[in-house]
This record gives sequence, C-alpha cells and structure tokens, in this order.
Amino acid sequence: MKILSLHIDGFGRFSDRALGPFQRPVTVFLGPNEAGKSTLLEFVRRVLFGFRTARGRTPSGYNYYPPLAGGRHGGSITIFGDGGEVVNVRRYSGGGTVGLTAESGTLLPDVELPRLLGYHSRDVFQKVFTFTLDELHSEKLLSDDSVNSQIYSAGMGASKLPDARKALYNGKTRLFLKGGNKHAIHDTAGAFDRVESSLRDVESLAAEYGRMTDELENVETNLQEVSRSRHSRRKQLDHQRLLRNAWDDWNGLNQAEVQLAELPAIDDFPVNGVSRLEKLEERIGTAQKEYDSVDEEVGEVKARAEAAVEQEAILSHSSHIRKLERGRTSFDNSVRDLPKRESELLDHDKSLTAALKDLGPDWDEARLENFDLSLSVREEILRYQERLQEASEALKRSEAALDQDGKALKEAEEAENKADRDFGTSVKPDLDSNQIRQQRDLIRRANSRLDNISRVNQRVYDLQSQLDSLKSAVPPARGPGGSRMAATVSLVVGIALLLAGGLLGGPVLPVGIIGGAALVGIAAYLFASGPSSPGAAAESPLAVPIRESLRKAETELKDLQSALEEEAVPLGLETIDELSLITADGALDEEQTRVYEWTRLSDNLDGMKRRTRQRKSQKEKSMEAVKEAEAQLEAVQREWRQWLADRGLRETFSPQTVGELRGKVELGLIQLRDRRSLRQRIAAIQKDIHDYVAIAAPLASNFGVPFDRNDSSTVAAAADRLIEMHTEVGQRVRDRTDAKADLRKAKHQLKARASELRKAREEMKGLIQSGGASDVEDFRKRAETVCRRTDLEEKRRGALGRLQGLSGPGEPLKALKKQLGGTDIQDIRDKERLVEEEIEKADARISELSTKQGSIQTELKRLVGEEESSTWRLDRHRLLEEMRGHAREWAVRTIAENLLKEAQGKFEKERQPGVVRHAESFFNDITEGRYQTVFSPLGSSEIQVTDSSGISKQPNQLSRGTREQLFLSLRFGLVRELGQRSERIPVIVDEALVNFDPDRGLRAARAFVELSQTNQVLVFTCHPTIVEIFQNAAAQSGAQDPEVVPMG
Amino acid sequence: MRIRFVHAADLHLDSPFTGLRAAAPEHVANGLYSATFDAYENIINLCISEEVDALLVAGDVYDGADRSLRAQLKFVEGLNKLDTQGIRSFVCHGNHDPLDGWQARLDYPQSCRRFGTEWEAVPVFENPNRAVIHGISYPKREFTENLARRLGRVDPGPFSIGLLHANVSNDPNHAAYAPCSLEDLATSGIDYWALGHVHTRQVLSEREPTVVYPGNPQGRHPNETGARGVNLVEVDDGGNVHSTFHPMATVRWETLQVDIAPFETEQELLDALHEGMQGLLDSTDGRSAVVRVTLTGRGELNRTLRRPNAIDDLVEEINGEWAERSPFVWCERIEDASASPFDREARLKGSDFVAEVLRTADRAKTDPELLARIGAGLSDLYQHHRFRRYLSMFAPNEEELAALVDEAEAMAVDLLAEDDDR
Repeated sequence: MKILSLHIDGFGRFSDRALGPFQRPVTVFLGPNEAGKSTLLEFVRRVLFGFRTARGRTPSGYNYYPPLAGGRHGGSITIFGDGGEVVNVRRYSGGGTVGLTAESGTLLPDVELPRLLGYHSRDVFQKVFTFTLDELHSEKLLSDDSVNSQIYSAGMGASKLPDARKALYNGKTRLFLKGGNKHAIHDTAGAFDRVESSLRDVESLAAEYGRMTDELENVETNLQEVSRSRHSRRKQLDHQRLLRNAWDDWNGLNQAEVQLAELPAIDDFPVNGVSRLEKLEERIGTAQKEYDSVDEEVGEVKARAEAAVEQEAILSHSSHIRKLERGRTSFDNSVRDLPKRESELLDHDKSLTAALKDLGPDWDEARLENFDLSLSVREEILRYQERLQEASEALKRSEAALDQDGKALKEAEEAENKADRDFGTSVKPDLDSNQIRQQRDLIRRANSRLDNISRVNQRVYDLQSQLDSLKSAVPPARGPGGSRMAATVSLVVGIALLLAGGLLGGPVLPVGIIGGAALVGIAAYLFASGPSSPGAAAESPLAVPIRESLRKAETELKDLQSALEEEAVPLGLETIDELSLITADGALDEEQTRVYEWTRLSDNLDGMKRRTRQRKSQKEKSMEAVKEAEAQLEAVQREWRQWLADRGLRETFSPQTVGELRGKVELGLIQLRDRRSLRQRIAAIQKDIHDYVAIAAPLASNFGVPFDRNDSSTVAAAADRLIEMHTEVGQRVRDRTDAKADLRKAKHQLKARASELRKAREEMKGLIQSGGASDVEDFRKRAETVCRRTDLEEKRRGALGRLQGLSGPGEPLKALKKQLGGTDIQDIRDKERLVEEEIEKADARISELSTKQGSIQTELKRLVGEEESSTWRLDRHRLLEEMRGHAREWAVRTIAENLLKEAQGKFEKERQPGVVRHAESFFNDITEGRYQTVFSPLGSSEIQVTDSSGISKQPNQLSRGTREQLFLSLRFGLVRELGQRSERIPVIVDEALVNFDPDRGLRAARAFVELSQTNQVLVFTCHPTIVEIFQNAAAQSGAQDPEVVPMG
Repeated sequence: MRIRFVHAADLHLDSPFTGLRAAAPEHVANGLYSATFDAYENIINLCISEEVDALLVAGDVYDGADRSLRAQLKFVEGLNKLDTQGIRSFVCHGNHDPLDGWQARLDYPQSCRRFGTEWEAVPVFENPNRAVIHGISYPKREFTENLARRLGRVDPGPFSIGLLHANVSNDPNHAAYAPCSLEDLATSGIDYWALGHVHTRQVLSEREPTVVYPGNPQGRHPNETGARGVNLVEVDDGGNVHSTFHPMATVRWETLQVDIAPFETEQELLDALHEGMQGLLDSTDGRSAVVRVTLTGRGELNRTLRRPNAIDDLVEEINGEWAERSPFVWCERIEDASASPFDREARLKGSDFVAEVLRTADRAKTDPELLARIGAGLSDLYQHHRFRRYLSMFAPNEEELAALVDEAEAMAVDLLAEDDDR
C-alpha cells in the first residue's frame, strides 16, 4: 500500500491543504521547525486508524490537534493498494466512522480498510511503521522491563505481557498456592470443616432424641407406680394419726367417769356460793374502815371551827387600806420624782434669762410675748430681701457689660490703626482688572493669528513643492542619478542571491536568503528616497491653477502679518512672536496679583473703621444702663428703712438680720412656756404625797405600826405593814368560817357508814343459811365438793365430743372406742412412725423421678428447638459454592497463564527469528560490520548484539546512536517480516537519522532506500543535509531520486 | 363429590438452599432457613381453608442427607394439625427419605397413612367405594425397580389415586429412581397419579389417567425459579378431575439477565438493574425473592466492571435498596458474563501477540494435546490431598475445560489490552 496524496480539511495548523501526489519510493518532506511535520505524521495515523474521542480514555498529554486554522477536524488520504486499487480514505473526529471511496466513486465497505492496512493494529502502525526521533531513542524504551518486550510491544500487542502474567500469578496465588496455607481456598475449606463438624454434632442429637423418649417413658411409668403406693400409705398414716389424736380423750373419758362415782351428791347449793361469800366478807371489811376514818375527821374539824383571830378590827378599815394599796407605787414615784423636777425648774429660769439678755436690754417677758411672729411679716421680710438682692445684682451686671464694651472698643481702635498703617505702606498697581482683561484678549487673538500664519505658510510651501515636481521633465541632477544606479545594482544582486539560495539550497540557502532580501530592501529605499529638483520643470498646464492658489495664499499671509503688527501696538510689543506673547502673558499674571493684594488691604481698612464706630456706640448704651440700676437699688433700700422704723427696729438691720432676730424671739417664747408648765407639775406631786400621808397616819397609830410623816421611807414601810396585816387577818377569818361548814358534813357522813356496815352483816348470815351450812368454814367445804363434780362432768362431755368428731357419731364412734379399747398408745405410735418412713421414701423417689423427667423434657425441648443446624447446612452449601467459585477462578487464571505461555512460545519461535534475522542484516550493514549478530535467546525477553570481536552487549551498553541504529534495524526487521504475510504499508519517519554519524547516516539512508523497494518511505526532516544524504544513498543504490516536498 | 385433596411432593423440609455464594443479611437468612417450613405451613393452611379430605405427599418429605429432627417433628406437627380438623394424610417416601433411612420416634396421628415397601390400597373414607389411595415407599435410597409395573391392575370400582415417587419417561435431569413409562402408568387403572421427584411442575397427562408432578413447593436453587406450590384436586361424582395450582413458596428464586451494550456509565446500568428488581418484585405476588443477575453482551462498561470490587459494589448498591424491604429482593450474586467491545474475528487476522493468543485458544479446541497442556496443573488443586474431597467433583471435564479456555482467553486478552481505540 502506498500513500498517493493527502487532503487536510482541518488539523492543527493546516486548513484545506493538499499534498501530493507522491510518485517516488522515497519522499522527503523538508521544512523548518514548526512547519507542521509532526502534525502531518499524526494526521496520517489518525485518518488511517481513527481519532480518539474526548469521552474515551486518552493518555495524559494527548494532543487532539484541533483545527486551529479552521475547516472540519480531519481529512482524507488517497492510497494505492498492493492490488492496484486506488482508495480514498476519509475520516473526521467526533465519533464519525471512516469513509472509503474507490477511484470510480463507489463507496466501499469499512472492512476494506483493515485489509488495506495489512490488518495491523494502530499500535503496530504507530510503533513499527511510523516513528519519531523521540520514539526511536526514547530512554523509557530502554528502562522498561525488557527491550525485547518493548520491541514486540511496539508492534506486537504484548507490551502488557509481563504485567498480565504477574496479575494472573498474583490472582492465582491469592486463591490457591500449592504448599501454601494462606489462600482463599484454604480459608474456605477451614470454615467448611468447622461447619461440618458442627453438623456432625447435630446429627448425633437425633439418636439422642430416641433414647431420651424411651427413658422418659420409663421414668413416667415408675413415677405413676410410686405415686400410687404413696397414696395408700398416706391413708394408713392418716388412720394412725387419728388413733393417736383420740387416745388422750379416750383416757380422760374413762378417768372422769370413775371419779364422779366416788363423790357425794349435793342438791340446791347456791350458785356461785363461794364467790358470793368472799364478796360479802370484803364488803363488811371495807364498811368498817370507812366508819373509823369519818369518825376521826369529825374531831379534827370541830377544833378548827372554834379557834380565835388577832387584830380582827382592821377588817373594819378595809376601804382606807385599799386606798393605801392602790396609791402605794404612785407614792414611791412622787417621792422619787419631786427633787428632779425642782432642779429642772432652776435650769429653765437660767435659760430664759440668757435668751432675754441675747435679744437686748430693752427686752423682757412681756415684750417677748407681744412680738409679731406671724407668717405675713415673715413673707414681707423675704420679699424685701429678694428685691434688694435683685437690684444689687442688676447693678453688677450693668457694670460688667460696661467694662467689657470698654475693652472691645480699645481692641477695635488698635486694629484700625494697624490696617491704616498696612494700607499706607502698600504700592498702588499700574493697571486695574479691566485693563488686564483687555490685554489678555489681545494676546489670545495674536496667538490665533500666529497659528493662521503658520498654516498659510505650510500651504505656500506645499504649493511651491507641487510646482517644483511638475518641472521634473528636465534631466535629473548628478546626486539623485547616483542613488538610482545604486538601487538598481542592489536589486539585481539581491534577486541573484535569493535565486542562488533557492536553487542551491544547503549551506548557501541562509546566506542567499538573508543577503538577497537585504539588498532588495536597500534598492527599494533608494528608489523611494530620490529628491526632486524644483524650478527645472517645464511649465505644464497643471501648474497654472497651482500657481494661482500659491499667489492667493501668499496674499493671505501678508494680510495676516500686517494685522498682527497692528495688534502688537496696544500690547506695547515691537514684534509679535510666540515667545513675546508668552512673556507678555507672564507680566499680566504678576500685575493681576498686585491688583488682588491692593484691593484686599483697602477692604480691610474700611472694615476696621466700621467696627470701631459700632463699639463706641455700644459703650455709651452700657453707661446709661448702669445709672438706671443704681437708682433702682436706692428706692428699694429707702422703703426697707421705713419698714424697720415702723417696727421699732434699728435702721441698720438688713432683712437677714431681722430674720435672725425673729428666730431668737421664737426660741425665748418656747422657754417661757416650758418653765410655766414645769411649775404646775411640781405642785401636783406635792399634793399627792400629802394626801397619802393623811390616810396612813391614823391607821398606823390604831394598830401599833411605827410611823413618821416627815420620813417618806417610814411612811412607805408603815403602809406596807398595814396592807400585809389586813390581808393576813382576812385570810384567817375566812378559814374559820369554812371549818364550821365542814363539821356539819362530817357528822352526816358518819351516820351513813354505820348503816351500811349493819346491812352487810345481815346478808352474810342469810347466805350461810341458804347453803345448809352452820358457819363460814362449813359453807366453804360444801362449796368445794359441788365444784369438783361440775369439772368432772364437763371433762367427760368434752372427751366424748372430740372422739365423735374424729370418728363421726353412731357406729363409727363405737368402732373407734372398740379399737382404742383394744390397743395402747405405744403400739399406735410405732405403727405411725413405720408408715411415715415409707411415705418419706416414696416422696424421695417421686422427687428423683420428677427431676429426671424434667431434665429429659428440657433436653427433648432443646433437641426439638435446635435451629442452628439449618444455618450450618446453608453455610455448608454456601462455602462449598464459594470454594467452587474460587477453584473455577483459579482454573481460569491457570489456563490463561498456560495460554499465554503457549502463545508466547509459538510466537517467539515462529516470528522472532525472522524479525531478528532481518534486523541483524540491517544492523550489520548500518554499522559496516561492527556488529555482526543480533539475537534474542529463546525464553528470555532480551535482545543482545555481538560485535566483530565476539563480545555480546545488551542495548543499554551501546552508545545512543548505535542503540538507535539497533532499534531502527529491529523495526526494519519487523517491517520486512510483517510485509511477507500482508499488505506492505508505508514507513514514515520523523528525524530518525539526526544522531547518526555521516557514514552510518548514509548507510541507514541506503537501508531506507532498499526498504523503499517494498514499502513506501516518507521522511520528515528540517535538515537539508538529510535530503542530501537520501539523494546520495539513492544514487549509490542506483535507485530513483527521492522526491523532495518543501514545507513551511 | 368423590374426593377433594391437595397433592404435594418434594417438601425437602429443612434442606438448605444450594448455590448461594454470598452470606445473606440476617433477616434474609432467617427467611431462607424457614422457607421450606413456611411453604409446608402454607400447604397445611391451604388444606384447612379449602376443607379438603386429604393431603397427599409424594415422597422426599425431607432429605436423608440432611436428616433433621426439626424437619420430622414439624412434619408430624402439621399432620397432627390436619388430624384435629378431620383431614387425613397419605405419605409415601422417596429416594431422599427412604424407609431404611434414619427416622425419629414420632407419633403420627391415627388419620395419617404412611405407605410401606409394598403397594397398599387404603380407602380414604369409611365407604371404601368412594376413593382409594394406592401407595408405596422406597425401601432404600437408590431404588431403580419399576414400581408402577409392580402395581398391576387395580380395582376399577372406586376412584383410585396412585401415590408414587418416580422418574417417568427417564427425565435426564433427574436421577433414574423407580423409572417407569407413561404407558406403565396408563395401564394400571389408576385415575390420578400423584407423583413426586421432578421439582418442576408438569402435567404429563391431562386425563385417563391424570398424571401430575406438582413440583417442589419451595425452590431451593437458582435453577428452581418462579412460582412453586401444590395441586388442589377436586374429583366430581362422575370421576372428572379438576385441578388447580396454588403457589406456596414464601421466597422465590429468580434470574435476571441484563445486556450491558446499551450503557455507557455504571449509573445507567444500575438504573436498569433497579428497574429489573422492581419488575421482579411486581411479578412475585407479594413474595420475597432471591435473584441471580447475569450481565451479558459486549460494551465499554465491561472494562469498568472488571475493576476490583466493581461487581461487589453493584451487589451492595442493589441490596442496599432492595434487600432491606419487606418483601425483600436479595441479589445473591451478579455474574459478569459480559465482554469488552472486542472484534475477535478482526483481531484473529492480525499479526500481533493478541492474535497469536486467540489462535492458540482456537487450536486448543481441536488439538487435545494442546488442550491438555493448557489444562495442565489444574489437578494441583482439584486433586490436592487436602481439597480433593470438596473439589474433585467439580474438576472440569473436556467440555468444561473448553469453556474455561474461552474465559481464560477473555481474561488474557483483557490483561494484554493497551490503551487504544478498538
């Protein structure tokens, strides 16, 4: 297959670019760096083998070569198949499929493309048939696991083989490793065994269940028998216990009957005779004791009722004694209080005297009491006080304002003097503002005039130039003629150099291009810059209107200049130009500043004068206000003095002084009143003491109590004694009255006790007679006999009742009596013990059997309820399935490993030697016999070479260039080998020979030329020498010259 | 009406589910442990609610290999329940529960009749002319005598039912126990053959005689999919048989195949799987389901799926959504039978190493010697002294080996694949 031509619709820097047709076996694309050679190589790869989609996985750094210059991303390649068919292959990015069109225009099915491409994969095409310098010598290539593997992978789809084998092995050993015990199958088998073991345990449970049910049946039968036996023993025991319980009653019954027969019968004995007798005896004893006690009491009370009382007469003075008693505490208080009050009175007298003295010599108690202290007077005083204060303050304020105005006036006068001095010393400007403004307008106008003059001047100059050029028909002057000559020479030499560079190429090319371009440039400049010579031109019809315009312009210029000169006069300038205008403008700026300063000082002086006038007027107003305030104060003071005279007070008193006097009068009045009330209180106390002594004195005399009316302590003691005496005599008289009443009651009681005693003695006599007894002793004996009989009869009845309760009435009772009659208690007890022992044994047996029954039932329940085995059975199957899964996966991996091994063996055996043989031949040629053999030991993944001295080397022991030559040879070998069984497809290389020395480069190029006999060769390079090398190689091989396609 | 009965078979009580590789979450596992019992309980309840005259069980009540006391006790418990409702029960034993197998000492109810190793005819009702059940049990597990032929010709008077565990017409999918032909059954004079042994429901003959395998009432294997249950049979006075199938299983086994070709992302696949799960749940009539998913077809997604844990993650995702529900759908595993988008035919014509691998795999299928070489070393595992007792039965035969070679080839090619646009 050959590539005939390319059409790039849009790819990288190319847009709508066609290349080809390529007719020769070797085509060299020559272009500088960035001319798009690598882009073109990638274009071929992608159109033939497809674009990667953005969505699919792409290697990092993958270049999409988007259509930067426009066009649809992709294009077409026209190829020429080995079978002679011409097919156009179109492909665009974006997931579109490939389109194949035959020369006739008919569409071909897609599957034709793999055939045309020799069924080679993209990898094979990229790594074996198309490669760049980088891909050829890549250090990565060498540092990979093995060169051999890399070389094969470059085209054989086995680059991942070592990884694949490793992955298979790892995956396999994770599942199972012979001799190992850390793998999944081992673990699963372990788990399986454990489940099996658990299940075996469960299986034994079933047999256990049968055994247990048998045992349960036995236990239940035994239990029934023992229970029956126990039941009958229990009945026996109950009967023996009945006999034992009846025995005591049976005995009691017999004894009671014997004893009753022995006792005499007594009829009609009083009921409860003995207790009644005892009660009567007790009653008689009690009545006697009470009688004796009352008799003694009568004697005692009688003595009290008849006793005499001393000083009984005091009771007739009870009313006076009570007065003494009531006034007793008050008397003590009065006696104690009197001296204190008298002392207080003395103090009051002194204070009052001092207060009067303080008011003045003309003050006595009468004046004090008559002084007017009413509220209205007080308010009047306050009012005068306020008015006087207000008038005084108003005067002070007026005086202060006057002072302030005086100072202000002084300040204003000083400021006015200063402004006057400043203005007097200032310089008056020459111009005023209006004049300055007019001069500025003149300068602006002159400037504008100058611009117009300049513009018209330019026009005059331009028109003059046009006229000059029209005069060019006249032969040129010598100078410009020389320039033209030089330009022409430069142009000719430059073009010659360019042509030489283009035609000769190689080392001449840059010199030709740069030199030629420079000379052509110089020529162009010289042509353009030749000056025209004015005045030498013959009058042309075209010159007439120009000359007219020139004349008009010159007139205008003159007008403008004369106008400008006129305008210079008011500005005081002799001539007007830009500089003089700028100077005049600057002088105006300075004059303006002087005007501003003079005006400011003048305004300031006026202002100051105005201020002084205002301040003077203000000061005069203030002086009048002071006078008015003084008159006001005088009027109020006059009024006040009159008020004081009206009240007999000194004129010098101020309202405050009068206020203070008024306070002193109030104080004196209070003291006067306090002394009066104290005197009244002392008189009252003295009267109380006198009255009390008057009551106590006669009583003390009557009842012999010591008394001194002048000694208040004896008065108090006498009063206390009289009160005490009165109380004691009263109590004793009351006691005697009470004793008389008690004596009457005691006598009556003594009579009642005697009657009771008599009655009890009579009842006792009656009782003894009713019991048929002669005396108390006899009565007691008869009563004991009756009591004994009653007890025995009760005992007999009780025993009989209980026996009947045990047996039931009638015949059973008789039978019981008979049984009891025929046995004894010891026999009964022996039999009972025996039966009890038998029952105990039965109970123990029942308990034992029940326990056993319970545990068997529990065990059976456990067996029945066992559910874990279900889980285990599920687990067993699951684990088996898991193991099976592991085994299957292991088997697949093992088979995959074997499959790879088989394929690899065959592949290496059938393919590799051919590849290596071809590679060896190429490598030998390129190195001119320096390296004679290339080989790959079977079963290894290495490539080795042997040099002429027989020394073997690994590729990494070779120099870079030699290593590249080895890889190139290996690729040649692969191309040759692959070409033998399928379509021969083009070899495309990008700068593959640059690292080779000239000899080896030439030999390698010869190898390419040789290869081009079977496979089209496309070479991309930026080195013209490479073109040369290929040309030489073709010439040496007698092959067709390579076609050179310039790019860039 | 002559008789109304339920025909069940192959209860396999308490026998475990097989083929599961993953451990089920607890509530699912509980459902699986009790599934055979739950199905049996459903049968008992059906008998009671339908007020049938008898329950017929045609063998394999439980598995001899997994002899479980619990299974036997539960079985009798169910029969006792029927007895209290006045429903009789008739049981014959098959290869999984032959009479020589271990049996717990149990008290079967009076109304239950378990057939011995010789044909017996037992009237169902007091009136012996209404219906008679002829039954026979296997004396031992591997019993290959034609029992149908041994029955001979029965009394044509009453409606006769044959209760037998047998392989009719040598179904190659089942063990050839008590083999017989449809002809043998037809000539016996039996009106309804209540058969057991084949786990998939089959009606071998609609009438004269009616010959039915009801199938097992609870599927226990990924291959035992769909609804499973019993036959409710009514025989009218004219001797006409009317039978209806009643599903009994509490957990169904289902399979789901999904072609990955249309999907570009895992999410799209996951969406399709969710849709599939919903479809299954809609079709199970309110029952839970255990599902085995198989991914098929060729597609880019295959590469993603072959990432470590990718399939496990999918299973987890699915079960996170569906296994926690009630009724649940538990995805027991996802089998990835999908392949990468790989044009094998084109690659086979290539010159690279992959082509050589493909050619070697192809040659192995026709070259026994090469196949033996490729399969060499498998005995290291399958015949390993420690593991052969679990694995020797799974050792691949020649045919399976060829299938494994296909899988191995896919694995190898995938591992060799380079980053390009195929």
